[in-house]
Amino acid sequence: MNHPTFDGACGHTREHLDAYLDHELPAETGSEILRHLETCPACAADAEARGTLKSRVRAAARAIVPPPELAVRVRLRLCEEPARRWWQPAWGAAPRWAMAAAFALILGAGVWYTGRPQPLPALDDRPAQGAFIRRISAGLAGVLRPGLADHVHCAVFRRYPANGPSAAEMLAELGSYRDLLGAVSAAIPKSWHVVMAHRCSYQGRKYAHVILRDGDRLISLVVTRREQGESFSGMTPARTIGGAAIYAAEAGGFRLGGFESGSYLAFVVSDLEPARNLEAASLLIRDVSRVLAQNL
Amino acid sequence: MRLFSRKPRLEEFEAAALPHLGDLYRTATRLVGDPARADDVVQEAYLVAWKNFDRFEPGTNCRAWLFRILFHCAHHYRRKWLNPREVPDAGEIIEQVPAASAAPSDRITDEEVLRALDAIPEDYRAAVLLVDVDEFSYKDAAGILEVPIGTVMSRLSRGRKLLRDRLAALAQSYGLTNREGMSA
Repeated sequence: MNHPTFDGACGHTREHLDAYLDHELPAETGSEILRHLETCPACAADAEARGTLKSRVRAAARAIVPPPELAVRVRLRLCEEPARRWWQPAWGAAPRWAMAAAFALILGAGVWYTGRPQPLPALDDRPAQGAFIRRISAGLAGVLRPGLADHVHCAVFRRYPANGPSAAEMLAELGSYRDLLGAVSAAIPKSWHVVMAHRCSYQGRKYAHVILRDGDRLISLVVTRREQGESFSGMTPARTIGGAAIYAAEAGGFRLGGFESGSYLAFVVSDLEPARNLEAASLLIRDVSRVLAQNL
Repeated sequence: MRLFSRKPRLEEFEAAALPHLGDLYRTATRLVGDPARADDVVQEAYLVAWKNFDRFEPGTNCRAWLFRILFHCAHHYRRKWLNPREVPDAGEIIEQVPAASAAPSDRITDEEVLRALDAIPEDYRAAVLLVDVDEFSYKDAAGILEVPIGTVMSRLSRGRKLLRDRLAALAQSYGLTNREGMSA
């Protein structure tokens, strides 16, 4: 294979061209390269080609965006894991023998710390996901559990396609709940957008589900028919909008805002801050209740 | 090791680290070759970072610190799950491709650019990703990869050359002339 060789100023320029384009050369050397590029068409063309390649690679790689649920999954795992304790070895710091010695000490002492939370289940491990949902729901009032369960099952534990469904596809998926899409789209802030909308089911219960994204935050509107005995009565409302009450709760790092509309329960579930989640429920309650009243 | 450091707060960590999620995910995708694998590697990197957040010095470059952890996690992931023979040896590749110095044509798509990037050896790809995509300085890239600056420069130079050669070969296979291949 024959490579072109360059002598003198051209050789010097080609040798430093990458560092020149990366702004990594000392000022004096950079000026030398610049002066040569102004007088040498061949080196200038090479510089342009290298600069173009750099731009193309950057643009192509940066076009990839993380899936909307990734930030939620990261936050969930962070909530599950405590920060390192002072006796635990730091990343990149402890030699292996020290870690082995520490492990042996723990075993030798017969101490086993059982309070450590379980890690987030794998995306394809449905039984572990079910156990996870049951565990984080345990402290919630029964009437709020369906909202959290469907959000975590459907919005968090799934991979979204690179290109989300079109509005027409989401309307078709929602079926008789199709008016929810327009009501939600009209009510939400401009920075939010709908990622997915469909009917789904979890553990035999059916839901209408609109999944929204605000930057790296994932928000669900979950609607399900009220079952026998399910009611928010007995709970204290967090806020009342036009006579309709919103009930708030937190579990497993998620925030819930629930409200009733006729024979339906509706939930806004997210990893937003508590006040923002309540605000989201307040924005949606009127239009969502109107759609659900028509759906009776 | 600081024995009694202040207990870090999760809110502080999230505020400092989560804005870099997109950058870490993009880079992880190119390092492990698949969005689902990248998802796992990024989660693991954040977990390691959180557990060691007490060692992070406020005011220093959090993004570079996270990338250093990400590269460790990606390396362990590849060793555990991927066949190292999937990527050919660097010298082997250099001998296989023709010499060329053109920029990619407009007719070459972003997907083809990324495929060419994914095909170059891991060490070179890492240097190209850190400097060209993530815009780290040579010094930061050297810190992340834990190699001397000179090594970053040589990997970058060879990686870029491999990329140029691959894309030039692709342009030729499409029947684009050398002149078209030079277009920006």
